[in-house]
Amino acid sequence: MLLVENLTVSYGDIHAVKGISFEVQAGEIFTLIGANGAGKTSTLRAISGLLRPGGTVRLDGRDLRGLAAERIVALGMAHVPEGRGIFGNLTVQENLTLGAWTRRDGKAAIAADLDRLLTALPRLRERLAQTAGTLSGGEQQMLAVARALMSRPTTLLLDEPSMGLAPKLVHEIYQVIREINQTGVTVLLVEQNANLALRLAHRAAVLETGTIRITGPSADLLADPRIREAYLGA
Amino acid sequence: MLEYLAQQSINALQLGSIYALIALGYSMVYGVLTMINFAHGDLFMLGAFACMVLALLLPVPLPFVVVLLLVMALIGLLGALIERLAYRPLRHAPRVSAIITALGCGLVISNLTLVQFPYAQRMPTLFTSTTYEFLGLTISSLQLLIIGVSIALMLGLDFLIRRTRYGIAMRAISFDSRTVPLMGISPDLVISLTFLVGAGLGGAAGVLYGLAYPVIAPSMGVLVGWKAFIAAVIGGIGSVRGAVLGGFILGTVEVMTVAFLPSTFRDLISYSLLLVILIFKPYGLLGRAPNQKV
Repeated sequence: MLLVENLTVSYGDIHAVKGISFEVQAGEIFTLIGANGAGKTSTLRAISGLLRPGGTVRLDGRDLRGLAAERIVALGMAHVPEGRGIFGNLTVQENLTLGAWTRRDGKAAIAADLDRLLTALPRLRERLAQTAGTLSGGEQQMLAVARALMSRPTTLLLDEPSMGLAPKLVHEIYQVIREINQTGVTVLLVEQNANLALRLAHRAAVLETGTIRITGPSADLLADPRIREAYLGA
Repeated sequence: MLEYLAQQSINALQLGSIYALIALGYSMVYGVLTMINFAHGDLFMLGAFACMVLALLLPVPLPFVVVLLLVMALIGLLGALIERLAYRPLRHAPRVSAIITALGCGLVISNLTLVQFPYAQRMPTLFTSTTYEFLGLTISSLQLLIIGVSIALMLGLDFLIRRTRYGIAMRAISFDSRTVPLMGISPDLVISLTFLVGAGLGGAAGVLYGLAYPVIAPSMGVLVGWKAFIAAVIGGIGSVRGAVLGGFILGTVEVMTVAFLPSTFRDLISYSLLLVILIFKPYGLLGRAPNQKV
């Protein structure tokens, strides 16, 4: 379970996130939707330790305050950053190897996980020896997610996995996220594409200029006329 | 004529391999931090002096390999220490602060050495060299040793960078340092390791240089070190293969210049070569344009 309390992020005088609170229950998909500049990416970066936020972030009861991002990964949180963060100069295989950096359960277990992932994502298996920078956008997004899974996270943070992808690929990525969640991984999904995200997630929050407007079950938000007008274009 | 050329090629290989070893340190550090470690040339110089001191102090002469490894460890640790104490606090300061600091560290090292050794020193003989005649060429076992050790070190580095997870992490940092922590990798650890290895190779180059040209002086950190920096730029700074290529190109050009022209032309030709290459290949022969990050 991920607990966020009174989280604030500032860049100099600019307050990007102004004291938001929410919790992501173990095993659920929770989505933060909102327009460009609402503070979604800052929120994720603050949770995963890339930024130094104010407020409290707890992962399974453990306070993450002051922990560097690389320490938080070892506690079971993986973050697929905005823009995917693929190492384009490394091969697909090397990217996946780095994803397993914190694992201490031996080469055999890592190889078994890798094999399972590649069976689910056969296109990555075909491209294992290829430089990751030569992959298409959709393949890079798959790789970014697969790489995050190599750390065996209990909680997965996803920053706009649909960005820049054709609708068919977005559908595939979302299917993958659903399957990951069904294996028991808690998912915190940040999206501009509210329609898609609300259909996938169990619960959601709407972020507007650094504050949370509404939190609730996704179905309620999908039905809410205010949300429909502002975010779903209907 | 052909024989003379072949003979000079052996010399070129010897000088080139030393330049390449030093250039690797510049290039590796640039790769992970996009910073020029201007103290690197002085670490190279200190490698030669450390070798001399070790050889003079030890009551029993140690095997050459042991001396080499000791110097590499010593200079490598010093390089990592300099990064920890002088560069890391400036990681988020403007780039120019780190560069000035590096120049300062270099000056401290060279001047401390100068205090201890005000005159050029003679390198003790660590290695009794024999010469071989081969197809009309003369090659000494010392030259073979220098070229062989250099190539072995470069192959070792290539293995480290291509095959080990720390090497993969080094390449990852050079591509996108901001995403590296999200893999659970401590960037500081990888950067320390890069300095350790880069400076260690510089120290090894110092030892080999001292064997090849056995009069050593504190000024050679600048004289030779900056040449190696040029080699790194010619090859494409940040590129490990580029550093090796640049080192051998510069070594060849210098040796051939001296072989066929008055030796005063040497620096003129090397620096001109740098200019010409940068006009046509601004990022060096094997360098790539930096990633444009938003």
